[in-house]
Amino acid sequence: MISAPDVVAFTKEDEYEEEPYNEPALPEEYSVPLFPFASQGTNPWSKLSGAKFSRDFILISEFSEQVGPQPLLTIPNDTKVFGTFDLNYFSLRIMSVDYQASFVGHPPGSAYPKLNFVEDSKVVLGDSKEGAFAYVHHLTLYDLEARGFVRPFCMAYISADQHKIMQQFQELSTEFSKASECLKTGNRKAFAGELEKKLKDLDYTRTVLHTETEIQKKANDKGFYSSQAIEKANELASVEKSIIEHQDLLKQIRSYPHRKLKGSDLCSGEMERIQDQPDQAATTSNPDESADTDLFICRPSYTPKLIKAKSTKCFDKKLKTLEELCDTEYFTQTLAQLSHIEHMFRGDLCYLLTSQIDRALLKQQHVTNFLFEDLVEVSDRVVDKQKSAPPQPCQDRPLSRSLEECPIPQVLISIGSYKSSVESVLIKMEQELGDQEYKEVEVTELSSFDAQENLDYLDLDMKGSISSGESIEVLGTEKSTSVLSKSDSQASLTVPLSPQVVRSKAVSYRTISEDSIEVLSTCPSEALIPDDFKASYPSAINEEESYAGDSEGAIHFQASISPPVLDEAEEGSLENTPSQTDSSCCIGKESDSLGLPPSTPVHTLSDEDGVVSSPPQRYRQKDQGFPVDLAVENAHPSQDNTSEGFPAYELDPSHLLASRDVSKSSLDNYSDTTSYVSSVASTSSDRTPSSAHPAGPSSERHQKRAGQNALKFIRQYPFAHPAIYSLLSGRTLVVLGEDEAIVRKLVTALSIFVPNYSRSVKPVKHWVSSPLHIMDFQKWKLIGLQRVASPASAGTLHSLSRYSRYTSILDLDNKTLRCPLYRGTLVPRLADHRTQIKRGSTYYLHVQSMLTQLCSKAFLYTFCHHLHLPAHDKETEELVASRQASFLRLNLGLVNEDVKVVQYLAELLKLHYMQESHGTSHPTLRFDYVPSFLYKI
Amino acid sequence: MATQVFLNYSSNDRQSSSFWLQISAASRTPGAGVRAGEKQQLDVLPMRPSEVFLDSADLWHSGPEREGIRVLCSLLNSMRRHPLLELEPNNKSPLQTIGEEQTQNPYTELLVLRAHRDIVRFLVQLDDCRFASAGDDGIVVVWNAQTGEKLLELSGHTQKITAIITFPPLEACEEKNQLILTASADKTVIVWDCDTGRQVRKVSCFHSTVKCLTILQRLDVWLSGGSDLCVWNRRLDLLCKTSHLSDTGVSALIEIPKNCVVAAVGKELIIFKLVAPTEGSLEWNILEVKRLLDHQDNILSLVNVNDLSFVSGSHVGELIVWDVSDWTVQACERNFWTQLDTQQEIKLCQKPNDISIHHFTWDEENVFAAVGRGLYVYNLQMKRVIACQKTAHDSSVLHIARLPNRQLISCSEDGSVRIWELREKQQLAAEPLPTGFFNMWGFGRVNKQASQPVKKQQENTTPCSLELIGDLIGHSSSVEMFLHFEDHGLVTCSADHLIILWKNGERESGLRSLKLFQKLEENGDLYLTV
Repeated sequence: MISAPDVVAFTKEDEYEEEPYNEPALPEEYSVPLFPFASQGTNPWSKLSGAKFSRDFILISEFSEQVGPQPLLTIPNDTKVFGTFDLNYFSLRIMSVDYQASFVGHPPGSAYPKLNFVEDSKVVLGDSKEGAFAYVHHLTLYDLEARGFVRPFCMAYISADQHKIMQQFQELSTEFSKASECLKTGNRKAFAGELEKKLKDLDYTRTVLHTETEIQKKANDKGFYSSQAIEKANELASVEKSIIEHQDLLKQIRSYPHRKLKGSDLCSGEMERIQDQPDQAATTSNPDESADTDLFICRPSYTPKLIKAKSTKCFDKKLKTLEELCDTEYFTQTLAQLSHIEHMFRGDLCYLLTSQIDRALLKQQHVTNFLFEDLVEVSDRVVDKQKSAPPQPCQDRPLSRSLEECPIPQVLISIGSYKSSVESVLIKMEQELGDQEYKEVEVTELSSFDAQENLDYLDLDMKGSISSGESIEVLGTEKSTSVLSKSDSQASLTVPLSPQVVRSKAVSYRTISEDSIEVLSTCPSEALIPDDFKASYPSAINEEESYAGDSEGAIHFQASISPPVLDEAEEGSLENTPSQTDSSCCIGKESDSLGLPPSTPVHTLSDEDGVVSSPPQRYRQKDQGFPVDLAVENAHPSQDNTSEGFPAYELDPSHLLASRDVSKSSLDNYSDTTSYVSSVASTSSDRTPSSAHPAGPSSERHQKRAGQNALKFIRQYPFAHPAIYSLLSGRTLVVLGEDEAIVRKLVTALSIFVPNYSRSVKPVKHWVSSPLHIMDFQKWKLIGLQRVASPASAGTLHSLSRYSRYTSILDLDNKTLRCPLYRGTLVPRLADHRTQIKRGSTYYLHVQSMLTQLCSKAFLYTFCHHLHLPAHDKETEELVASRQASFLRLNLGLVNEDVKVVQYLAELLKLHYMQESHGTSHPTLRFDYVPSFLYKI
Repeated sequence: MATQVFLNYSSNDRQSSSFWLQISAASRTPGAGVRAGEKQQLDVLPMRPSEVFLDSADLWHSGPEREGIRVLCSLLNSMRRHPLLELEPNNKSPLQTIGEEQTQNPYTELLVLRAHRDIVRFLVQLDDCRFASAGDDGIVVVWNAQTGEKLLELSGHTQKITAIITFPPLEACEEKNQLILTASADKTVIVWDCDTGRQVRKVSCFHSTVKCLTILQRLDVWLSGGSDLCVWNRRLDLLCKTSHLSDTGVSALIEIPKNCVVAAVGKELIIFKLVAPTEGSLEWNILEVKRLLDHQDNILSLVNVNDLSFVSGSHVGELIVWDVSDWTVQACERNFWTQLDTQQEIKLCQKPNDISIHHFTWDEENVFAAVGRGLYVYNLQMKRVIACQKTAHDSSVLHIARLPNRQLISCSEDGSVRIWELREKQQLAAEPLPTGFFNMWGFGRVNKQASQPVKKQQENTTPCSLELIGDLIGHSSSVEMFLHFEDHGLVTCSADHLIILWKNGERESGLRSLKLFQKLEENGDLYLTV
């Protein structure tokens, strides 16, 4: 509500720049970095990347043990979205950054196969050839038939905009973790079920074998065993061993640490809220536990099979599908979560940032934001999530607070991680692993690992990333106990380094290339071997903390710095790279000194091109965005890297709207499932406005339509002002009409003006056909009432006239309004019928910003100490009242009836503030004895 | 030129019907709202005359239309015996109305309280901020009058509650808890502790429903009046009882000096003397002393006015002031109406229900009586009615109470509560104007009529007047009773199962601000920013 995205997009137009820049700069936390290349006259939405897909999507891939990396499904599941993008290639690309090699079979020193409870890894990688950047979330699922019982999967959020991935990393990671947790929970359930079946089979096989052996024994009593008998005995022994192994596995899967269950519990609870499936209601309280309990109940329906001694060849059998691997229920939940993610991150980065700023600022206004905000629920939920989600790094440290407060989450890559490459990371790991002695050896082994060898190996494997040179890899590697995973990640770290270090040195004094950024963040994970469970638990806690510390070295989401610091940073960057003025500096200069004509940076840019001659020309802007960035980084930890630009996201003109009218364009251009969901959500929201929608964009569409209809109402009815005044001052407005659709539409439109009592319920009733009651006026502030032509409606009309003092009545059929007089100045500004605003969403934002102003006035009035309390004992009530009146009139500039609006909002604020601790409070019906007038068109 | 009125009548069901009037005449007086050929729809609910609703009822006000409407009425009458038409509109004085602008009405905030599942008939004040409600659903609910919070729900009766009274704790007694006594149609009386919600004791040895309860605090006993009169002590031991008095039972019971009580039984007032145990006899006893037979009809109301007199009112509108010591008639007002109204036909059409005295309230000089639909102020010194409002409400006034500032509040079966002020009359009012037809029917609480001067007839006989200063509309059915709190406003209970708490909005707003700053201070938010 604070910033309109469609305005932001055009702030850097040419004529705009020519104006003297006199206005005081917007505080940093309110501003969204501008598109840096606007000066070149390029359309900010032009497709710089050459991506082959039209918009972001989610890809799920598997590293199949039979066919290698293969794409499984995309979300949205629509070929138009990814177009000609080579999914197979990209699957190979993302799966080859495999973060771990889990224990396969028997680890040395243990008798039985062990299950690794490994956390997922989160990787950001880019592929300039494909013009794709991806957040990749690797996870491992268990499959009894798979090699080593594990099947590696990954979910990737693929976007053409690398900055989007980088800056939304934390959010992406949180959301994908939920999806992954859901999959894994389902998988554990399925795996345990599978194990039970297998155990039954084995048991049955054993009995069969046993009887056979007995029979053989009896058949030959010669005293020696035939080869057949020996074979049988061996077979029996192997079955016995297999039973023990499987029992052990079952024990392991059952002993999945409870701490994790809690986390996943939250996740699937979340899922259920999203899906709202009634049949899951039983499991909402603790779905995992109930799931676990019912999965351990033996299923009598299962008939055991005899297991052949020799299993079929690995390549002959058909591997389970993802849906089979996880429980179907959990699978659909995951899909829902993924489409939620797709929805959540849809649109331009600028738009995402704006809405994040919006939400963050709204969160700060916790006293007043309940009044007019729909988003409150959503953002509240986000807060709740953050508070309850244990693996968040931003919990126990001051940094976390800054993260929560920070309006623009920015990727801040600290120096440490840059000069790091291999060693620094290793040192960290050593520290972390300090308490796990037996692994230390491995770690030291690791440090002596020959990076070059690994590089060679990876050279073959990761051609894409090496050749392109621009690949960005943010490896959120697990600090898993498996050694290989670390070496892997380090290998990938080292790889892009070697060819470019020289060049980067040529450009600036840095130790790292501009082309590849590796951020390594270690996630808390432990290969929890059940036997050592108790021993490793404290260390697990430790690890979590160390993860938090580690992320400091890796990715910072930090509140933006104050302007002086920024200047300093820019100076630093200029000093560092005196010969180069590149895009991000240009912006700084433009905003500061305005001296530079827009052509200069272009020129220098091309100059620089000549010097650097980085191979992929298509990428040069971004390419150059980076070095300076890093230089700045070195000089000072500034927030500048957000200004390195928003690479174009969508080229199609139809996609220009994408950021603002996401769902509209999605409805019109794509008929994918997610947008279908959104439309359903919004229609249901029409009917039950109090229900919370999980997805922001759906309510956005709702907002847009409401704004459009409100605009129509204002233009159509000359008496819109008193009607809106009624709503704002808490007098119930009854919209009377015969046609339900029309009434509903208008009620929805007008509901944007209705102040809420609390966070939960919007006091709007869209359609009533029974006579109104006094309770209705207490509960609802906007009511759509059915007018029935038959005499049966007499009761309805009767009650309406009886309670006329509490209501304003808008008669849609006769086009009349009966309500008190309004002579203020507030509503005309809010609802100007000659407004230039054309678009519903813009008007909605206009209304929201006006209402925010109003809220702040109400806030001031409510919380001004001297206004409400007598200055001394002898002061009369009249004096206090006159003080209030003069404050409202002089300080807040309110005239006539506007005073009542602010007073009403102030009462709501008081009630809300007081009931926050009490819980339930009854809304009172406030009214005035004022005469009503009849307005006609 | 005669006005022609055409009537379209339709009835979909028995509950409601509609009339369309078409007035075809051209002879319009200026200002009359209906033009020739215009249709006006009347929505009529046969349930209750007061509920007749007309969207723009003030279109007619006088002139030839009235003639037409007379025709219409007879027409309607012949078509259907409609209860509406039994009211002879011409014979009623108009209902005083007030517009939407009520500057003197302090109640600008309301809170609807829901707990009962049937008619709420009784409200009793427990202390400064609590009250209890009881009704036909047999439960008693204790409320916080400030917040409207439901504190307790006392359920124990199986049938409707017929009487409720509070039993204040004895000063000397160690049990400080306040008690409530409730009598019910299930022939029991239950004593409740209204601090804990506990049922203290229950008596179920009655032969008939106890209709009234009274407490003689001086003797620390209480009396129950049903078909006989019983005397109980605090521990619910039956001390003594009278013989069977009547089948209908005692309808009202008050205490008068010298250990006497007056019981209204049918048309009679019976005076009983209570004999407390003395040195001579340890037994309690109750003796009938005298029967007063001056009333012509059933006595509905009986109150102690002051130390010298008590007042009783009957179904046919007799008001008798009695001397408290020798039980003689001090004054008697049998026929307010004929005395006050010169129009003879009024008496003819007065139905008994219209003049029955439902409730009294009093102050030092006056007795305020709710007589039928009207309010009368009877001065004890002057022994005459000093002010009256014959149609204060659309239907019977059920309860009235006096506020300290010469204000009177009344509630009625028509679902409204009205606030009146007793004013000295300044001047003679003008001749009563002919009033609108619809006005007489009780509709048309419309703006226009707010400005019309209140009509008074018989100015010479009434030196004071009752001015309407506000009305409270919230209940959808008969308002049974109300309770006025000095600090928290007004509580009304109604047959629509609701209780409404009416508050002074400005004052509440100020209180909320105070609370807000208190809470801010508690939370430490008040000085945080520095």
